[in-house]
Amino acid sequence: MNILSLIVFLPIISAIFLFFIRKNVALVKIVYILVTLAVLYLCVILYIDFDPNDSMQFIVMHQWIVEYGINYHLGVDGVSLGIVMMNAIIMPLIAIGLYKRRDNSGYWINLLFVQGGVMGAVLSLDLMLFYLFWELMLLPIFFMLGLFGYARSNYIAMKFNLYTIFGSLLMLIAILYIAVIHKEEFGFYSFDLNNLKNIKLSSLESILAFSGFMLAFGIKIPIFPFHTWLSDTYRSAPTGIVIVMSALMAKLGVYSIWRFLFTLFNETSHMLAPYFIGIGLFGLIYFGISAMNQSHLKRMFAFSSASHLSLIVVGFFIYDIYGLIGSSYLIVAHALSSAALFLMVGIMFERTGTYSINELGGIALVAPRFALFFAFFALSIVGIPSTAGFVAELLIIVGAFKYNIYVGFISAITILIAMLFMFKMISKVLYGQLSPHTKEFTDLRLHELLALIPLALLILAMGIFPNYFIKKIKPTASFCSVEGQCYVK
Amino acid sequence: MKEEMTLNLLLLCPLISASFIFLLNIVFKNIRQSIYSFLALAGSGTSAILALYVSYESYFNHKIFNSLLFTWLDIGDFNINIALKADALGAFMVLFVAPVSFLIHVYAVAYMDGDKSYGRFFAYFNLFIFFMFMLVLGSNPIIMFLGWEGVGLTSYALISFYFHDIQNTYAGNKAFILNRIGDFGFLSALMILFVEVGSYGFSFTDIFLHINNINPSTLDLIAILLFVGAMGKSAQIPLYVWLPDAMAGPTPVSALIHAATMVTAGVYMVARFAPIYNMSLDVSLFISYIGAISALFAAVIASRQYDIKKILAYSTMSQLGFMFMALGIHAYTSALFHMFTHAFFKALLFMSAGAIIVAFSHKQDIRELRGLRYSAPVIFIMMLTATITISAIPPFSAFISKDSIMSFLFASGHYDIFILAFIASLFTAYYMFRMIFVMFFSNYFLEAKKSSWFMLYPMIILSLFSIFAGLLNLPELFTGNLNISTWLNLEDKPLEISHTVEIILMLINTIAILAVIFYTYKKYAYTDKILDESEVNIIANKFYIDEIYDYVFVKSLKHFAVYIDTKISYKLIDRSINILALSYAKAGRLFSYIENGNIRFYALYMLVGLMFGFVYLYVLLRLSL
Repeated sequence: MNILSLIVFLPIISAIFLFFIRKNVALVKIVYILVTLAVLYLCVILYIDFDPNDSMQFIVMHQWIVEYGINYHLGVDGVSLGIVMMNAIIMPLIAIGLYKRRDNSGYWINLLFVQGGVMGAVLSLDLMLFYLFWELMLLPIFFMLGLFGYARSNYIAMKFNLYTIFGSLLMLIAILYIAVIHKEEFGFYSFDLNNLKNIKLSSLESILAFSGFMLAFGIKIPIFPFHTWLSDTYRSAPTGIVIVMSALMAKLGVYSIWRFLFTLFNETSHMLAPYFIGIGLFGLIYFGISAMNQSHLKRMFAFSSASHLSLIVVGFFIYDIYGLIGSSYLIVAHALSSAALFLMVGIMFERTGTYSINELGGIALVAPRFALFFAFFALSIVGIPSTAGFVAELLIIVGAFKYNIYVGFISAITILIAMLFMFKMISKVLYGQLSPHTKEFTDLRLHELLALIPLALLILAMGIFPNYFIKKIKPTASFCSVEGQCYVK
Repeated sequence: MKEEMTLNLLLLCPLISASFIFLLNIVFKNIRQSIYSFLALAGSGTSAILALYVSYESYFNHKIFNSLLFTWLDIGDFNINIALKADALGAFMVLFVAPVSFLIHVYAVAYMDGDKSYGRFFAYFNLFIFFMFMLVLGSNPIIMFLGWEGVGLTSYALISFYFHDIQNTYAGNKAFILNRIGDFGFLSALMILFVEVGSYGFSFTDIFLHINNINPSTLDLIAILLFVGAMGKSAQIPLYVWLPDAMAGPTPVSALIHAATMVTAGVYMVARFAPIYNMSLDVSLFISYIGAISALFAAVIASRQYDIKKILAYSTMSQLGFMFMALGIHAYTSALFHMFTHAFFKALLFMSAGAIIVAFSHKQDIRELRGLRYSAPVIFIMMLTATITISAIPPFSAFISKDSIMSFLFASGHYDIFILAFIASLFTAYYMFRMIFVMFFSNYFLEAKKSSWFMLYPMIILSLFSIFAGLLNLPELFTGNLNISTWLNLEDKPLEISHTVEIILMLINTIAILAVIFYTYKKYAYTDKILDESEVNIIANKFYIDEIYDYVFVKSLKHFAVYIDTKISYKLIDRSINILALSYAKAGRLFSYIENGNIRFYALYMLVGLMFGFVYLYVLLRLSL
């Protein structure tokens, strides 16, 4: 069996298996950890075997529904490899970090579904298959928001669901539409990226289909003005889901822009790129300033993520090698940092029972290790040198300056934007005098350290030796930017 | 091979010791202080020795040290190696950075004695030296930028060191944010530079070789953006407000980072990019003016401060202003040499201040610190030495370095800058001797704790330096041969005034300064004048710049944040989307009236439907006929 299929279906099958067995929680948790570790092991093998001189690899292709040309078509290239790796790394760490908490087996089963869904959506090269996994990953999140969320969880889950389903439906329509066009032009249905990219569309049709996709992705990321579901959902969502949403799902939205839109509608994407660069730059600043006004930790980080994601969008739409590599690097870098940060916020909530910045304080006095890690991850979001985020932002800024000097200046603001809220937050949470909530704060325990240390080391390694990681992305990126279009083998 | 090792070790020793201290500190709870001290001193000491060796080789044998560690990034044209290079300028920088760092480390061992975060302090402190070396030894601007950001980061960590008082951490935040605004300029400049000439390679040598390809207006833009970076790091107007607040950190930090080394990085940067500044004259002149205004402005504020460390902080800003004046008129060596002597005497001043703070139970207000001469005689002598030096009285080192700046300013023909500098130097003498006379010349007597010799030895060495360091760059006038200038060999503008003019300038300067000192003596020594000074006037309130900044930038940004978060995001966008969803629900309710489960109504619908059907058929038939 192909390694990619294993990576996708191992979590899904174990989730179904667990769903029917439903033994006690401890067992489910252990199985969860074992399965995700197995996936991690497979992904490490994948990473090592990945040939840094080639673009699309490990392709598996079977015909599935022949009369409609739907294929089971998976493959991995430099950009998707990064997302696969961080998915594999983050998922087991959630369970290790929250080992003592959340005694409900549904939580872990749903997370396994999500992992499989994300993996599938990242790896699929067939639009129908992609749509299937895309929805497969959303459903468990909907359930978890409703079941395990805090404060008005039903309303928020519903809102999130309506938002995303609205986007997905338009995407589905667009997918069906271009498949029909393909049938008209070539005489047979196909949902395969390789075939679909050959179709000719008039510019209006192309823009319409583009918008259908873009709406789904734009809501998922989110870009301005589709962000109003974001802060409530992040606030309400349980730790595991927040991590998945900020670290994986939002990144999947940006990745899909690159994978599908740039492949299918190359000319239209080029044509519309200035608008999306504009929206991205606007979002970068808008969300950054919005974050200043938040006193709820998770909401603040929600806006902080949104701000960075807008920058990633800019990096992709710049359409050159620096922007592309920078953005795909930032996808991974930001995922690691934000996953760690949300995990730590979860740990903090477990101890203090509050997410409010104003009710915390003085944690560094009683828990130096916690303070160290928290400050490190917060600063890695700000993009201090020797962290992965710095490298990524630097590359995007290089690309932006090459594109246009004004775009360059505005995207360089990214090195200022996160500081507006991050430093005040660090001061208020970690420093100063103890508050009633933080009086009995215990320092990080062993299992929490076990979850956080790998993330910290990885962020450092990616910041100090970026060339080692980037050389795996480079062929994919140079292939794309030289040809002006990204081909799939 | 050996050269490479020397340079690598010079850079990595502090990093290694920092990581060891850090690991020990985080893993074990109770480690003896002496282990930390040993590691910290070993790290900084080794680099100090290697630095002396490097500069010795560079000075006498004109050797250029090179080292390539690894490839950092290699994408397209953007090929960045982690490579070090100690040319004359780099060697000159490490010549004072490394030994001063080591001496302040020794001092800090005593100063921080008994602090419960002893290990954390030295981890940051050694990390700082590592980044500082990276800044001065980087062979391309990206590495320089990495070091540049790194020193800002460690500076933040050290200002916030006493974090139980949240105000200290706010001071750290302020420092980091203002520095980063400068970094924004620096980074943008590098990026434009890369877009323009990056395809030829991006090391300093490559850039300067192809600088003629850039059109003049772009070059001006680059020059000014680079200087924005320097403004932030070297605390010049308008980005200076962080430096006085940065005194919240422990005193060794103020001595090393906020006086001797990090804040001079801006000066180093402008000197490093000298080929660019030589080509954009307007920007250079602008730098001179900023320097002149900063020098005078800070000196005026310092004359009404009471906190001993704040006085010294403003004095640092003022002295940096002098260096920028010199840079702006392309007297690079004079600027660098003043930076060199400044490192010694300013570190000495801060260390004396620290010794006073420790000896007199952590008091920092000079009005409470009166009558120290007989209780702390050694400190008195040191502080007096440093004060005489900073006031530029011959033959102390700052006289030689500052006098060269004054001569160049006069020779450049910009007399307005010269006069600003002259007034600033009179104010310097005034505020420094005000401090000395208030603290040491009075009828009171304060009991002192005995200072540790660990603190005093480095101070003695530094006071020797601040007296004699001037000999290294003795001008021709005094039968010297400008050794440093020959060594650095920068693209200086030659000095074009006769010896007579030079001597006259020197005399006027010195006499004016002595007169100011005499005036200050009359005013403050053995009197209570200092207590009569009002604390409410505009100078004592630092021209309300902090308040203005707070109002214009911080408060307005906050209001803006509230506005966009509640008004735009919530009220405008979220509401309209909710209304969309609600109107959908309402439309559904409308249809539910029709769908009411009543058979009669359904019969009616059928009837209506049939009617329409017949009409349709009828029309269809008529049309086809």
